[in-house]
Amino acid sequence: MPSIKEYTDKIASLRNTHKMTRTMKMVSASKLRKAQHAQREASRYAAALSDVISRLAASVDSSAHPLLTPREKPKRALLVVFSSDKGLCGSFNHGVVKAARAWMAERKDRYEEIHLAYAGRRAYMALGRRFPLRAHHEDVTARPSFEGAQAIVDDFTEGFLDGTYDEVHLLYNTFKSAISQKPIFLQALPIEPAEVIHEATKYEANYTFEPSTKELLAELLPKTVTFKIYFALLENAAGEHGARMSAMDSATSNAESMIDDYTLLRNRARQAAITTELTEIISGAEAL
Amino acid sequence: MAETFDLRILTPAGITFEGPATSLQARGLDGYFGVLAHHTPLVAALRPGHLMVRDGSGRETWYEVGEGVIETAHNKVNILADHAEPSSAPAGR
Repeated sequence: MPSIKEYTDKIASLRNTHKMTRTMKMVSASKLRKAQHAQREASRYAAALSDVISRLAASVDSSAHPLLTPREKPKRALLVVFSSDKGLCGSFNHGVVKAARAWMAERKDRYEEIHLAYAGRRAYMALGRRFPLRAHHEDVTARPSFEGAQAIVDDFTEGFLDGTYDEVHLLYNTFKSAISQKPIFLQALPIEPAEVIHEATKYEANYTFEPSTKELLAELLPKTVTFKIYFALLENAAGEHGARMSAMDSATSNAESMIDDYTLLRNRARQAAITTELTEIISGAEAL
Repeated sequence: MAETFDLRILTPAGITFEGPATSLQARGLDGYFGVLAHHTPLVAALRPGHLMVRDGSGRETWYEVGEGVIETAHNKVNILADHAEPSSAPAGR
């Protein structure tokens, strides 16, 4: 049986762990609030941007734009996988990795080649060495920014336009709630025309455009892609913090119940020691 | 007092400015241009540069903005930019 001191040490270390997981939970909660706030702000910009674009698209023949044109027989695909840089967030990254594997297995016959790009270290660590790598973008997931999203987009847009890839897909966790994140797939390129051209009023004839509507559209279309990536980064961040919050919550309550268990064991050990000592003293006294 | 128009500066990170303004100056494809109240309907691309907003009281505020687009119609002006941060007036102003 372990000694009282061993129990005391164990309890002390559990208390430290408990303090740490509780703090991490609170930090994640506040980061989650921030990420959700950023999402709300971002969706206002998205609404305004998609309004301008759909009106522009309605005003010109937009089918010719290379980002809108599907390839006849897509042979090579790129999958951009979003994960977190840090662990300790439950099955958050595992879910994405599993979904990526399933997706690739399912499409083995459809594409000749599937390459992977990563935003976030965890998925890269799990898959990076096993599958053809396009790019690994570091330090973009912890603090999502439009500039960070731009770097990811620039890379795969180049790959799409020079013909390396016929399709670009995204895979990221969507934030359902703090305890539930669901991996989803989204096609980034080519852009589905239905996405940009929805019911929109054309611009009236008295508008001035600078440059022409066609060039404006060409300039703004890539922004919708960048925005999509930015939004994926935000969802991923919200999901990460939510997952970490609930993981740390259960870690905290586990630590609490272990502290209770070990306190009980320590008290039992102490009582046993006292009883033994008493018995020894009494039997010693009787011997005299 | 000069007439005002409703201005909104939107970025992915949120709304940078929302309210009445009397004039603004932004960088388009062919250099800086100004917008006053009741501007003709316009959609124009913006290049990274300085953006000046003069509010109802005549005070000038400067922003450092990224690429974007400006849309004016019915005395409302929307600026959508990649980013927009308040900055000091550029040298020579």
